[in-house]
Amino acid sequence: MLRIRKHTVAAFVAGACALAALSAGCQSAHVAHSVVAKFPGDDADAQLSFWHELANHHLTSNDDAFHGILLDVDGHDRSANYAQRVATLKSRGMLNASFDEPADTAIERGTLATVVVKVLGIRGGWAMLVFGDTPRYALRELVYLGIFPPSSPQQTFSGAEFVGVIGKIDDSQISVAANVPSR
Amino acid sequence: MKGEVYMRYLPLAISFVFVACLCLTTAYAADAPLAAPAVAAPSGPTSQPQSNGSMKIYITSVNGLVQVRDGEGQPWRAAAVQMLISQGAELRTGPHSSVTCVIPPDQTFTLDRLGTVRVEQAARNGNKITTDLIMKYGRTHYDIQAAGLEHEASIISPSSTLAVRGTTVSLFDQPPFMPEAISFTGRAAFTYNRATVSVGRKNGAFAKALAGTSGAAETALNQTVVDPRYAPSLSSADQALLASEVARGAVLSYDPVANIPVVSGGRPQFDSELPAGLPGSLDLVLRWTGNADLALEVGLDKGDPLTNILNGFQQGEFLYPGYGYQNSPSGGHIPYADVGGPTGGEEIAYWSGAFPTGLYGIAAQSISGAATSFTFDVYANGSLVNEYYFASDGVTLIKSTQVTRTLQPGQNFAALVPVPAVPLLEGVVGDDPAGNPNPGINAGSFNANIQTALASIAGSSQTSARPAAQTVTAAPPVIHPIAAAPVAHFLPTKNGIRVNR
Repeated sequence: MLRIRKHTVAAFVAGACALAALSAGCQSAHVAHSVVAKFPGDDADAQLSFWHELANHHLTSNDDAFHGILLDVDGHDRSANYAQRVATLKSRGMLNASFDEPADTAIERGTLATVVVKVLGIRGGWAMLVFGDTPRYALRELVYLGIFPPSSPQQTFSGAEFVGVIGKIDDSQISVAANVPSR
Repeated sequence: MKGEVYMRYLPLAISFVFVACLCLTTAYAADAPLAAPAVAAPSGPTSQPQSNGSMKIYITSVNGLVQVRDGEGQPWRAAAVQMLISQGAELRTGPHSSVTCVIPPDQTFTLDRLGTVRVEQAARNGNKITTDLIMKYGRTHYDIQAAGLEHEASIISPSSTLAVRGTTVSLFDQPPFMPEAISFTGRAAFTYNRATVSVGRKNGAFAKALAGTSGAAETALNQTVVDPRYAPSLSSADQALLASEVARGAVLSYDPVANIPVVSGGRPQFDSELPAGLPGSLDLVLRWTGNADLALEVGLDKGDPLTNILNGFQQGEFLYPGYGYQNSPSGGHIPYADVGGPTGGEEIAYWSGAFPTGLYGIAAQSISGAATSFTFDVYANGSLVNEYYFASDGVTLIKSTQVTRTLQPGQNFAALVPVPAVPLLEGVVGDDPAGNPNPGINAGSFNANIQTALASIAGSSQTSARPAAQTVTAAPPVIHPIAAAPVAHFLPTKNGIRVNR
């Protein structure tokens, strides 16, 4: 009798753990500390501090990512807050009009990929032409071009990875040869 | 006479050069202010030698957002051209930015976009200069002009190290990408995960090594993408063969596991078509007519064929469609794997130009599908060659220039072919009772329905040849025996030859 009870309790605990793990796995990761809130300015010091502080973080939030994209594209970010950044990106057609994720949610690679293909003006292959720049096909196109690492649209970015991807975007815009020391 | 004149003035010239160098060195050793007008890159102090001890570093180019600090914990400040920094200084860049520094007299490094690098060590001891750059992430180009000085320089990143001696290199290490080292000229040592590989060579050209590879060659190979179906990636003989297959209704694809082009559907060449469609000087052809997938296997025992027969077949080379066995050292080649279809298929192994003399083994292995009739043909310099095999009793050795048999599912059949022909053997071994040659493959070899389909293919345009290919039923996935281990069906036995397993 005692043995049965132990087994029952063990099964219940295991089931509860599995349920908890499953439910937790379906939730988006949240970023506790915003880097853009710490370095909100547009001056050189704030921008450089933003990039190199972000590289030390384990996750990149939507807010930080969109701030970084605007800094990279425009050289500045005039938006006062996250809502304005999202509105700016949507107004330029860089972000899907239905995007409504919170600022502190970790940015998904698929979401960022849709922004990047717009930034770089990538038309993509036949799948992207047929199905549009969905997170799945935008990401696959960027993986093919070597701008993103092989990954899935639901994966997130660490700060260092986000900075690395921004670097790759720069590489694709500027000839690498121009940076080689002249001989 | 001229030599005497030169010798007379040589000590004077040496003294003059020595005094000039001394003056320049002394002038440079005096610490100049950071933005002193006298400091001009690259012909000013940045090109002058330095004395022993910690070396000075000059910023010679700034693009975009760049900051510098003198050491950890120090405040960041904007970097500017002609700014003087020293050992322990740290640089960081923003997007679309870069900064170039010169360590006189002969070192230049550039930190590219979104990176950070610290000059851990920049010191001179006599004729030796030691420089260590610690790059937290980013990309750094390093140029050392080995101007009579000994250099021990390295770029160290969290996961890799690039050791440099008189060359132009670049190290990239930034998550989430694999680190990579590039040598523009000269040789550098790239260390990753406790393994060191050389990148580039002395007086060499551009070479790139990706972390985790065995060097630049493997990196280049990994980054080379050539569609195997793309015509320029095939030899002219293979192009013609594949075009011939497609013309007979086959569909071309590629098997990335077996690593070989694959044809399916279509039909084998008829006896009358075969001689004109042979690609090599030695051709071993397997054709079959049933809805099955057969694999051609070729073994070679090089040397005098008669001696090899007497000594027993010793397989030296082996050919199989795919899995790395489609090419042999002596030039044997199987261009594609035919997975068959309702009207059979065809596989060819061939040698172009000179081919080895020896005892060849040809075998057919049933991979999948139904029992089927198949035919072996071996052409040497355009002429059919006798093949030797056992009669149905399993004891009597017989010969024929064209062998036609039926292969049951999962079974195999093999024959031996001496090249060149051995007159002694031809006189001793009798012809196949079924005829020499056996009946081969022609339009009558197929059943009535298929004959009708073949007739429609023959009578229509190339585009209408497709329906035969479209009717191909996808064969269930099978594991080729060769994928597990190469199978040789030409193994020696106690009586010298064994041609049927």
